[in-house]
Amino acid sequence: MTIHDSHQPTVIRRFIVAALGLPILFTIIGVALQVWARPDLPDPIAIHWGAGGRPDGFGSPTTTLVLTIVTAVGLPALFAAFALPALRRGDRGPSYRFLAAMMAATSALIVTVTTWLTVMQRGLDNAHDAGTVWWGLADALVNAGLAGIIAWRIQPEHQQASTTERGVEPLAIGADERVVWLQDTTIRRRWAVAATALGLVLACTAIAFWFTADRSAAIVLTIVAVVVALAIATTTAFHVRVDATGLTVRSWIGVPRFQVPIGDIEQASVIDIHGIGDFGGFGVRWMPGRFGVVLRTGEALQVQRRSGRLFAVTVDDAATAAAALNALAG
Amino acid sequence: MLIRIDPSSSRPLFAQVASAVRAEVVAGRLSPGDRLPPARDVAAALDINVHTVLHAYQDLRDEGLIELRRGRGATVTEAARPLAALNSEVTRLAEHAAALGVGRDTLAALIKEMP
Repeated sequence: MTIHDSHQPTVIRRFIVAALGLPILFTIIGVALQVWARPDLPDPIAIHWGAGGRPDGFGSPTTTLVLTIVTAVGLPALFAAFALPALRRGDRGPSYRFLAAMMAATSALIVTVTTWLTVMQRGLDNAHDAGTVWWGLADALVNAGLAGIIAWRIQPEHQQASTTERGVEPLAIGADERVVWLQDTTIRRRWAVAATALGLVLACTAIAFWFTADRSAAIVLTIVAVVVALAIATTTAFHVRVDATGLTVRSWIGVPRFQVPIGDIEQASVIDIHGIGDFGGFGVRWMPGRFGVVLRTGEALQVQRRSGRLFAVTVDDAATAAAALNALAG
Repeated sequence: MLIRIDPSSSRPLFAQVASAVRAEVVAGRLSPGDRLPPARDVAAALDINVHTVLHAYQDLRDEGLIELRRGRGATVTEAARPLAALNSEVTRLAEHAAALGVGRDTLAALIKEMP
């Protein structure tokens, strides 16, 4: 732990440089180039290219400029806003370093594509004469790779904060006694509100499209709305049950359902989970050697299978659940 | 929420389920507004009849500790708060009584017969 503590300011500072500083720098360079090219650009400029590499969509240079800023800075800012509070709480691990590198790479990709495709139209009278996009895309991939490597390298190496596992004494259960422990677990309220709002907006837009826009757009949007609704329904709220059959974690619509049979349980304990550091994010997560239903940061029930593999679920009152499981499995 | 029952005990099963819920309330693990698990789930997990669990829930409703609403299931009421507030004192009293060799039934009788 002392190693992490002495590195703490550097880890956070370098994370900010990699995940936010680099994207802002790339955006400034891209915006400067686009503004410099502006007087010589046709208006409208080509903004979309067909499968054959020829331009087939046109728009204002300003749109591209705004798009560059919003996506190349906005996306990294969104993810950093998610990861920084956890880092400040002391969570560590290669997942954060990788996340920052991904943000720098994504931003470099976006900036290179939009800037290259804008600047290459300098001097054209008609945007229909805009060339193919392949060189721009190739350069974008190279820049993204370089940005990712730089962002990774400027951050210090740090290890996952050791999750302190708290052993739990088995519950005293009489020979004839039957025990059940039931608890619901959900994502935090603010995320639930955001997810519901997203689902509603998508559903309303899809319905509106059936009446106003063309059929194919309505179909696509309906499919997107259904997929998002299913994703929300299957990953945000779970019933957790401990009984003589073992541990069962079931989403509130019934699927997915995960079970660890009682005969498969070596021991149960309580841990504190940091979503990003421990599982690389939130939701239903697979990692080498462990599986987690990770709905939030904090208290979780962890079960070690006889095979050594771990199963974790974030839930309140995990100590009682662990005590019951240890008694039932013992 | 932890529910434990002992089918070999002389106490009826519904009373055991009800007192398990009460114990959770007193311990502060169930607060006003919390929902109890559906009777069907509890019955299945404990391998008892669903009517036994419903009987327990109805008794708790008659005590005012929970509300039963169609479609919303069983919800813990505000009546839970005073019970949880007494928890530490009741625990201390029971421990003190046990240390002095006074059984719980005697202690309950003393409280009941208080003027």
